[in-house]
Amino acid sequence: MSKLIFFYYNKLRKETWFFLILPILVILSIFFFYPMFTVFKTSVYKYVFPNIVEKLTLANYSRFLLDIFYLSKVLLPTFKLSILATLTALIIGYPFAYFLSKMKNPNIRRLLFTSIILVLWVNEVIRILGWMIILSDNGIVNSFLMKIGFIRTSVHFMYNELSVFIALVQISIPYIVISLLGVFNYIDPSLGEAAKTLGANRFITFLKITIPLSIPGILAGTLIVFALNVNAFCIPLLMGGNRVSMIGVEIYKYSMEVNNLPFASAMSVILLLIILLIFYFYTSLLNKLYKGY
Amino acid sequence: MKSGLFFSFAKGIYFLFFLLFVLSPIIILMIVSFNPESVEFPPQGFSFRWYIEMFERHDFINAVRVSFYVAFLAALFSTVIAIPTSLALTRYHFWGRKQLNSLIVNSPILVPMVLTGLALFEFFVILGIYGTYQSLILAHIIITMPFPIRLICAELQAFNPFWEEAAAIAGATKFQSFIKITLPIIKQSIFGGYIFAFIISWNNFALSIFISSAKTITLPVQVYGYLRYEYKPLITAISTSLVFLSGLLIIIIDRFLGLESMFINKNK
Repeated sequence: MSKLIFFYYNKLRKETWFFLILPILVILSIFFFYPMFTVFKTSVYKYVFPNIVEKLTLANYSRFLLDIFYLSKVLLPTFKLSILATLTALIIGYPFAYFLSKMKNPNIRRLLFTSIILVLWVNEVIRILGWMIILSDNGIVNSFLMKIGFIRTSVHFMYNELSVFIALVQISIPYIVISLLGVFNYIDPSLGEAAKTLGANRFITFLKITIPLSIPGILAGTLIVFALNVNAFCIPLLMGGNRVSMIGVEIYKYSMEVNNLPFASAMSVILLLIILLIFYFYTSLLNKLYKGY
Repeated sequence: MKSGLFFSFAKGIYFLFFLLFVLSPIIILMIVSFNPESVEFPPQGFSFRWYIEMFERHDFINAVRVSFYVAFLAALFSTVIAIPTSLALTRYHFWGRKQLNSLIVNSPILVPMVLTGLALFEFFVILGIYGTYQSLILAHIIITMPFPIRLICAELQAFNPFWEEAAAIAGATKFQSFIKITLPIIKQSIFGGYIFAFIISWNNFALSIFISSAKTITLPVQVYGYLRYEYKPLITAISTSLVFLSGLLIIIIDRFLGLESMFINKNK
């Protein structure tokens, strides 16, 4: 047995690629895979306040998955907000990406593209503060509506699901625009011209040619955005007050504030599985639709 | 022709509302930061008061220092490790290559930042290095690594390995051909990858809040702390400066590397 290992080890030593990927393998194994393993391990340990008892149990998982409280107050808002925000961002961002790709002036195009990217590179906390100023009870929207007499008392835009939804949409739009721009640049413009010579007006070409050809971009963009929204932690934490509960927030609360590490670990494992399922579903859908590519 | 005019008008309105929605929090924030009193809009005056106060706070300066130190080093290590990794992923065929590639490229989206944060938190506590600079830098290396790798891989795949083969025929060793041929060509993406990694680390909040301790608070975590204690006007000044910095960086990168080409593959 040891001779076999020795043989393979010698073989590997001669391969260049082994040394090339050695650094990243080492770092990933020690600082990524092993900590993940620790989380899996902790998730099946018992939590007896305030200690972690090292007895194997699935109680953490059953507590989250079988209790209607967690399902309805955590899992449901997570999915509801993520799906809504993803679809809204898609609808809002699609025309923008389309018009941007068709724009002839390169300077304006660059300017618009850069300003969209800027949103991604500005810190999440900063964006949230901006929304707070706009949406809070004595913020811009409320003061404006009160000045024109539309409402008497301030409408609560902040610290509920609406504000989380708005912030999620804002952060989702740049990713969708980027994915769609990539696809739009790839579409052969002569297809549109061919359709025009056959008598289709602009609207029908858009419907029958542009949209179907852009589906890979739509799928890729919505995948990224949906995964990002389900993972969202900072936005619901700050913009939802204590009322909006997404799974990321619960993981943070149970690990950092309550110190119930096993339960928090179980929730993160569940979150990971959800994301993996979404990924698997998406990629199999893409493969089915585009077998030849 | 009438419908054409209406269409352009509607398009203009759409663009206006779109940009307003996406950019307004940032713009309003910048305007309000000059308001000497509170965070009301329209501002009641003009003053640099909050900017001055920003520079006088020790915890803010400290947080900037920590963030910069961590981002600088983490991005450095990240990019340095990315170079051999990208070479291996694009130029060599080996068992597990596709899996490793997709794991690295997809992990920032796939693996929730909360999970990484929790995992590293538990790990660092077990190791006893929780709250040190080293742990923070290591964590940031992990999360920034996919980005330089992706950029360098893209550039490596775009250029023909024919030059390297020509060098090998002319008698250069693998290492020599790497230094003299490959490296100059991927210089751009290495630089871009470093900037990318730096920004990811600098802006990171979700991970840092798990592993920051009182001594090693990064800037985003510090701003979050201010937010919880209602230091709103101060944060607007901080935020505006950060937005300025990010904007500057984007302009620089766009000038040198061309942002659009980095994100989108133009079909020539």
